[in-house]
Amino acid sequence: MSKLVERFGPDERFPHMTMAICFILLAVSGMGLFSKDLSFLTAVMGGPFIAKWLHLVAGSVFACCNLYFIFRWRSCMKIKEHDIAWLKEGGGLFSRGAHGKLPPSGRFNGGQKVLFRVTMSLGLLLAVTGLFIWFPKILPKALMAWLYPLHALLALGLMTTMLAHIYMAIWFVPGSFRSMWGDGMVEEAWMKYHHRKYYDYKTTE
Amino acid sequence: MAKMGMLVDVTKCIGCRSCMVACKQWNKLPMDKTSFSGTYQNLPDRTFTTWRLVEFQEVTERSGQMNWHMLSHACMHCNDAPCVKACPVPGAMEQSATGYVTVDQKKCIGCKYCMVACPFNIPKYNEVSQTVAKCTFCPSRVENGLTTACSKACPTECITYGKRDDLVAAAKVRVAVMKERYPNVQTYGIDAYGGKGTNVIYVLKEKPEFYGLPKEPSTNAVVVWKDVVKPLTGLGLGATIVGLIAHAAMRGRDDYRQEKGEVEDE
Repeated sequence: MSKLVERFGPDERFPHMTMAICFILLAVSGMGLFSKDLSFLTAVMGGPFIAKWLHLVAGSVFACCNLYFIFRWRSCMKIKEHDIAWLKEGGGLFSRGAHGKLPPSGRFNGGQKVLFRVTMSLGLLLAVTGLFIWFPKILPKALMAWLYPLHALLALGLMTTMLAHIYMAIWFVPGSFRSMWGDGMVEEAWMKYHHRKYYDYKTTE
Repeated sequence: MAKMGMLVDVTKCIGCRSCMVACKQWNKLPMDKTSFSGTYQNLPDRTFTTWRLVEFQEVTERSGQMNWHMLSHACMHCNDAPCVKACPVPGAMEQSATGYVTVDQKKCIGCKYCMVACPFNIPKYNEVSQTVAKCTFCPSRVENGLTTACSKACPTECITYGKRDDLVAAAKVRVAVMKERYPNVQTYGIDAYGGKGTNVIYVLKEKPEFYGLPKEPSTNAVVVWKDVVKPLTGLGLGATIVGLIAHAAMRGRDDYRQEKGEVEDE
């Protein structure tokens, strides 16, 4: 076992945890309130009325976390030249042994930066459309009616993105789950392997 | 099952508001506080407890004489109703085999989807009960061989209850008869929604827009939402899960221990 280094601090792990729990609640209640055919999802939560309020409360907390992360990670999510080079190599996602050819990454790699932007944008748009759906009298009805399919489409986008995110975290990249859901630590070798630039920067500090 | 409906023929309306009173009485709806706003119309709009409203349009004729155009307007009980399609709770908003649409106050969660889906702004929300209400077509009457309360009370047979097919025929005859007196007379609702129509149909003296009715009531957004986006969501989520499983099988894991030789290169 090599030396451990901190990957995510508590000010990142706990908001992320909050956001993740809200996301699950939002996805389940949201799909349950999407259609009569999916009403078993709201039944699990104690009925559609409770699911509605859970959706509204969890949505509000989610939106706050969304804004928090945009602020918290504003500087380390800037896409740089080496990130574009990383993305051009496909991030080593699609062929075995491709990782070695990748340009070294900073604290977040190109893929994570793209995911961050996509997630934060979808989250914000969902929050805004959701707020109007909560208070449907604000906008004219002709426009308002289209926010429902739009909100559903945005939710589809976020759910597919999150499925990929969860897959990466718990299966594709061993060692990463602990950094966000455990004590925030990773092995030094992990950091060197996945985030070489950041590792070098930290060790030469 | 034969569709049942109502015909509201405004050429016969005298603005007595008996329909409103009968509706309130049968459905045990309390009074709404009114205020004078320069019109004979009781309230600016229907409310949670006023399901039927006689709307007054005051116009000055070319002769200089003042004239009222009345329309007793409530839920149109659309075929393939958009409110029912939009409603996420089974049984909260339902359409009967004969075509009328009811709201179950015990099941409604107040999501307001139906309020936006309805092209006629009919369902009304109550902050206290957190539910919506609207004209229910008096199920306790029509299921027991009676007519709706409003049509029963109407003294001029402006509102008539019956089989939709009979009412459609009657409306067409009435338009033909009244054409000479009211050049703009027309039916409303018979062919709405690309022919599906509403179960409550109107004979109007003027164009629908004159009464504040949509010229072509549209349910496009609800149809896209429920018939396009919904299957797309299932497809999208399914495809993502299949894709991720395929990726896991073909690519293997991106394990940092490979370099140290702690695990074999997968």
